[in-house]
Amino acid sequence: MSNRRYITILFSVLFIVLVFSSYQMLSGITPEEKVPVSVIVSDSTNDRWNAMREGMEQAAQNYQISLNIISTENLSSAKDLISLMRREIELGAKGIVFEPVDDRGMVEFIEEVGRSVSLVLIQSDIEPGDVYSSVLTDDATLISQLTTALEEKYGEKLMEKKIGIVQSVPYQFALKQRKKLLEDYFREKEISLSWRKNNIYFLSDLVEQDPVDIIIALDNISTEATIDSLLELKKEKKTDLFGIGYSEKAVYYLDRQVVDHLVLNNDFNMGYMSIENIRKMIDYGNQKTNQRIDSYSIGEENMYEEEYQKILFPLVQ
Amino acid sequence: MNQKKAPSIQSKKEKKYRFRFPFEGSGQSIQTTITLSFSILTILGMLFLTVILYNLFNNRMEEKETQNAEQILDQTSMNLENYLKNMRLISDTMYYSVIKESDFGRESIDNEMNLLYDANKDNLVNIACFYNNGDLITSVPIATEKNNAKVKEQPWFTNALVEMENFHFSTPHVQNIFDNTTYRYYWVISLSRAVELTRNGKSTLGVLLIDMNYSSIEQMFDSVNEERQEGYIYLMDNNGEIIYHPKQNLIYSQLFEENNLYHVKQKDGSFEEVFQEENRIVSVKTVSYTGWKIICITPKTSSAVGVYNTRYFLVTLIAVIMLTMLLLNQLISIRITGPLKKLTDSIQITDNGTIDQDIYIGGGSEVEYLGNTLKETAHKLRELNDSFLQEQEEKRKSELDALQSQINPHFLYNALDSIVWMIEGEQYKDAVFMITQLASLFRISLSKGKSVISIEDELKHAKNYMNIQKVRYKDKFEVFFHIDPEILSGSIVKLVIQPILENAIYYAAETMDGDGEIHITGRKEQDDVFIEIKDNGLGMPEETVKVLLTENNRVHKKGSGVGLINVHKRIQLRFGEAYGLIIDSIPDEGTSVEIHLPYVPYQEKNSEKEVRL
Repeated sequence: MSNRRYITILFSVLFIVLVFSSYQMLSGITPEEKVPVSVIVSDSTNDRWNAMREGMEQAAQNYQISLNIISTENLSSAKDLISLMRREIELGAKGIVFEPVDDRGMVEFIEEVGRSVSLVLIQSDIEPGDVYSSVLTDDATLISQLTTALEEKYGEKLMEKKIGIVQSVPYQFALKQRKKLLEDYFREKEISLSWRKNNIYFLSDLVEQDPVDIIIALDNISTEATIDSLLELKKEKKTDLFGIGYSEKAVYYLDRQVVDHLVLNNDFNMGYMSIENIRKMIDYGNQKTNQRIDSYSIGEENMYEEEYQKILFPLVQ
Repeated sequence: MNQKKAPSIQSKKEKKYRFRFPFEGSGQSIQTTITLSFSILTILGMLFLTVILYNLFNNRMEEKETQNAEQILDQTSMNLENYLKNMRLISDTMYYSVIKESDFGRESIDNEMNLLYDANKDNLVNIACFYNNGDLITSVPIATEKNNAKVKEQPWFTNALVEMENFHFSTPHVQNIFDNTTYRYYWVISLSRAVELTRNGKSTLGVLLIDMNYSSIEQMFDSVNEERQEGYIYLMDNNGEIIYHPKQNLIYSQLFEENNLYHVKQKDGSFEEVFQEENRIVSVKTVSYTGWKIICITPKTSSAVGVYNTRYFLVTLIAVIMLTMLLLNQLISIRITGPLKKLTDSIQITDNGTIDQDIYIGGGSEVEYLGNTLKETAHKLRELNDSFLQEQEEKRKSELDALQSQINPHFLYNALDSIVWMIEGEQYKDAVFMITQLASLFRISLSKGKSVISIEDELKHAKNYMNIQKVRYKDKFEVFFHIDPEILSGSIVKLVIQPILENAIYYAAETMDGDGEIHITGRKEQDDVFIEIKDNGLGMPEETVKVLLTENNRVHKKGSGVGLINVHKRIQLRFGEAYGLIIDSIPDEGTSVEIHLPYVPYQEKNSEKEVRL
């Protein structure tokens, strides 16, 4: 090899090192830009999202995310949700965390948009896809914990009890799944349900006209609505309420023994993990994961135990 | 001859232990060797320097970070101690100024308690006093307790009554004994102590509870953490239970882990650890009275941003220095090897044969000496070479002369014998003709001493010779010349056709008894000339033909005594190995001898030395 060639190679190597180190030096000074991510959940200002919001904010801080939680009321149709998602994409969102609804066009839209924007589905139990990540509520475990609490309290006498089931909306994936699992359980136990209600309108009338021993509320909204109905009818001592959900109100009335038992997801984890996942998807593209979050069964007797008070009363940081 | 001494001569011993450059002797040029050797030495030196500098700087930064962390811990510890001292002061005030002065059977302490609460409500959530059976005496700001409040089961209550002389600080918890009508809940750290109460004149025990607002401590630590770009501080009690951590919710949710159970066993000071594959500096400070520990974590990876930038700054600096050094190395190596390269180039020219070119003399004294020596050597070599060539030429010429001299006496004897015979037979005309032909033949034979003549003269010589021989042999054969005029201007070694004709006469004419024919044909093919002498004589077997031109198997000859081998050798000596005679013979049919020559136009100057391929 000639001298000229050696020198050229050495010069080239040193020049590349020089350019690389200069770039690294300058890029070390430039702060990392935050990535815009939007969050779309139904009734986003409701207290029930507080823990999830805190989890998201914590993750946003750790992962350099500019978080935009969209203010919404009830998102009952795919059309409204899709319209909001399209708007956020146009406004430059690199990723969207959202709660899907069971409506026509939803799945097709996710498949279409998921190829260009990172998507994380939360609060749902739909089948994992190849274009999005999901942080799933483990509905089977939720229902299992709820029925265990029923059995522990009533034992064999559960057969004799009159039971009603209520949910806030009929179209959510998670609620449909929970209802089906619960009905399967009662069918297996040969317990017939007194009533099933797919919304919370005129719930007090139903409770008054067709009183039951146990009301099972399948989500936080229906749990809070049932609390209101029982307090209004002064039936809080006569009717036991087993609710799924989490809000300051629900926890307060758990402490006041209006709610007999509360089964809830670790929403803080759900919020944190959803933002963590979306950051990974934005950075690495093909990292799509489907995770399930833990759930807890909490009664008045154990709500102040160290493990549970951290879940029920999150530290605001 | 002048003997010059080299500027430095290495002894054998020195050679044995001589330092060798990395690329020496691997076929590289000296310039490459010098450049690369010094570049590698420069790179190694700079790398060594970089590592040393970086380590020094890194250690310095780590020391600074550690000092900084310890300062932060000292400051935070002082703030926390002041805060806790203030809480104890509230407790003392409540106890010694209010509780000890009151009889709970007769009077209420609500006003005093409210005043104390109002004065410190930013830091307090509740103040309450209980009998030792768990009954609430009074509390502010919420006056009632919940129906299901299990006061006697609360750790702060039991601890206070077990160790009555001490203050007891709880870990953070949600206060759950008071009947709060709002949905709000409070995280508190409970400060409890056993108190002596007077009730209707009788002394009894009770518990004074001060619920400190956890958010005050949280804010205190948050403000410190917000100022830190990298790393964080956290607080734990003397059992390793975390009181404050910037990622407390993540720890509760098991999304983050802390090495608190190890840290709680450590004494005050700083140490390094690897936790979850992260190198970090841990500083520990114990808070007085409570035994709580404040821990400061500084990741070593970032020890910190300053080191990151410095690392690349050093690399950039070193790259610039190395580039400069490389340029300097190149310049120095060119300076050193330039004269050597010039010398090498001049030697190459000499080797190529341009003898008169000068060898380069210049550069340093060593190179100049080398140049002079080489010049002298080259000069001597050239002289030797010239001398050798001259000797060779002379040798060849003498050999040619010897060969030619083999022709003359024999032929002359025969010719003169024929002339004598003619004179004796009174054939004077024929004798005159013979003498004329002989004279012409000798004139051409002499050719002013030239060894190369034109083909035209050589053919004329052949004709003269054949005319003489025809007389001698009394027309026993016929001679035919078929010559392409184009070849007449070519060059040929003198007297090469005549010996072949002589052989043809002997083997053809003498044996054919009047029917002998000799055909002399000359033609040109591309750049070659072929002159064929063909007879119809006895011919030869193939094995005889094969050895005709072999010197060791020379066939015994008659006639002039000059064999074909001599002719063949003369042609090859003059024109090269590619040329010479081609013999073809068939027994009883005849023999063809073909002279193969290059076509070289004949000029006077070609006649001696230059006609050589």
